[in-house]
Amino acid sequence: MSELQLLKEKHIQYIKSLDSKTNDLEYWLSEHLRLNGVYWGLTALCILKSKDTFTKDDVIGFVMSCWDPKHSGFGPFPRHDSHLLSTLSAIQILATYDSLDSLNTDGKLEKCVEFITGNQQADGSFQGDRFGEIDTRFSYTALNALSILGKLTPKIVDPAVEYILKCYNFDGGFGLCPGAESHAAQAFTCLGALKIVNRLDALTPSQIEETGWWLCERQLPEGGLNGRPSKLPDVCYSWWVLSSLSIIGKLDWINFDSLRKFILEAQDNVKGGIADRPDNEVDVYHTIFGLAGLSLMGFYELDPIDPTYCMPTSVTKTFKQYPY
Amino acid sequence: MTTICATLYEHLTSHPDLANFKLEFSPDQEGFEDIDFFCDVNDAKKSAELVVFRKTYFKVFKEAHALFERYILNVDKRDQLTWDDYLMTIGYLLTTSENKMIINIHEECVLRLLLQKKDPAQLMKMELLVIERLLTCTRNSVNKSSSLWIWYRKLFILCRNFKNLDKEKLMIQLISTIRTSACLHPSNYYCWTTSRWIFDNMYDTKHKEQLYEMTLEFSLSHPNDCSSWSALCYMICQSRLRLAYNTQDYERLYQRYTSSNIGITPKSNHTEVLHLTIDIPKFTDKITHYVDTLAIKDWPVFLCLSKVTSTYGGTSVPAYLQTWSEQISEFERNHGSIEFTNRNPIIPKDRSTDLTLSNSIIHYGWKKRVVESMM
Repeated sequence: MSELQLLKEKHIQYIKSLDSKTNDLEYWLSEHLRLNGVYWGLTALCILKSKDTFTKDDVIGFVMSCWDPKHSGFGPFPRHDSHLLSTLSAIQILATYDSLDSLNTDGKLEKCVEFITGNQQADGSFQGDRFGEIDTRFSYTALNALSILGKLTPKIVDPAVEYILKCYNFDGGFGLCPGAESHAAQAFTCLGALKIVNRLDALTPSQIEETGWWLCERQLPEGGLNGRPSKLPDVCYSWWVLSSLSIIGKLDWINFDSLRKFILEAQDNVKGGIADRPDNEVDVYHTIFGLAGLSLMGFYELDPIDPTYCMPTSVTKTFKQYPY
Repeated sequence: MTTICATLYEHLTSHPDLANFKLEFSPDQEGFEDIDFFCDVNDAKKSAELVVFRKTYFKVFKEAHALFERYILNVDKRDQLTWDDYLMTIGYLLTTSENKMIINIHEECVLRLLLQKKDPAQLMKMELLVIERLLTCTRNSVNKSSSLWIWYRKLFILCRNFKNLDKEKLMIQLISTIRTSACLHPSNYYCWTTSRWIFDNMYDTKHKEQLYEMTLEFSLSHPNDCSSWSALCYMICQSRLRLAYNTQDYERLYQRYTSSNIGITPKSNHTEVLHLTIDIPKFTDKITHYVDTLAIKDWPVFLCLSKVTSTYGGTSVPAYLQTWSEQISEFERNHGSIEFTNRNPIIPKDRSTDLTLSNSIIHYGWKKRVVESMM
């Protein structure tokens, strides 16, 4: 174990290099995830206490260039249509830079709120955009974004909570919609959403206990976490599972040392970055979630991460707590 | 003007009557430098393989991306969707199927084309073919794409409106698509979530039973597929639980389509939800026999059985729990107590080199967990 180290400097250089590869086709293949990628990269740098690696004004300029004037909200790249996922990433980035006032021009704040709330359905669920895909991921995304903006209301929150509760399953997990298979990512989005709106008490102690068991079952003998029974471990579940356990006060139900080993073994020792599992190709998505998992476990003096928002606690402590 | 995207579309809609069509992705191969797509048709086996090489994949994306750049720059002409725009979206669905803007443009193109075409049923047939072939391709990012599976549900809704479409064939193809995609991608979450949605919105009992039988057969051959076992459990328990979410979701999606955007007044769903009559004791006996005979060591099977028992169980303890309790006692008498970490049975280090014993520990471990939770 002593030979495994967190390669902080290499990860910083890896993240820094991501935006320089504009001649690579792979760079454009991920265009539809760009704003999400910036949020992942920035948050990873914050955890590594290297926030200034990105130039603040450049990043804010890019975020604002992703504003969708036709539908309001933010797309993942300039001139792309808006979606809840990229809108949340935009808001998270602006909040991290203490620059939410960038939304104060041309009524963008109100229009953004309207875009988010306009995607709520009659049953309290949220679609991602006009395509109509419903998923508890979008419930979390919407409530998170509105929370950062200080714009949650009972009209939005109460039906959203009702819908999320219907997604709780027999085995203690949560699905993407009522009756859907339990999945660790959905556990995070449902618990995170309830936590954001201060409604974890909508779950009974027995339900929370069962959820805790479902989550800690995700740890495999080799230490990594999977997202569902019989699946392979994946570094990103270091976040989805750990943060969920942290939200319900059961973070210590996981063996930290063996998980740490799994995450560290998934690093690329040459170019930096973290992969889904050892010996695979790295990407910024698994890099942030591997680092976030290590931060939650308290290793390597990383900047503390908020398990509910997946943002630095130094930022989230400024958010208005609902109910206002 | 599209070239490679158009060629891609031609290939994806070729041989529409072949039962087995496999879209595969391959590294660049020596000897195929000048070939973009390699299509091998076997008439005797009624099958075809379409191979997309790595260089072709990038070519498709490059062309689609260039067309997309042109599309988004022409802000004023965005409402004037063309056949080239449709082909652009096909290129994107192959390469980056989770591009949210593209799937919206794709839907808009299809709806517009339905209004324009003399034979909209033929367009629907080809569109279904393309999407089914994408959902059953060998690339995981495509065959598990949530956007594509949602679009497939919408096509299910739209297809009901075209008399010229062979509904029997559609249903067979639909069940086959789910199965093939599930085979290619273990525990395919969005595939099996869609199977539940389709199950709840099936037109008739016959096809509902066929979907259920396929799910049962698939699950029995894939004991570690958590998604298929979860879907199977859902289908069985629906006769009792009658969750209305999926039928309500059908209505929500159906309301998007009106005579103004598809040219005909769309049909709503059936007024009465169909429920299967499943012999629960027979099912339980089948699964417990399967577990015992094959010494199953995969939790998804046990979870399904637990849920079914819990949903349909009366006040008496099912016989299989008593049997398993006795089996566990005997095993532990001979090999020591089975221990758990986080409710997962643990193989002690001194037993780990004995594969047969290790497998038995897991097998009886899951049984012990079920028994202790239910008795």
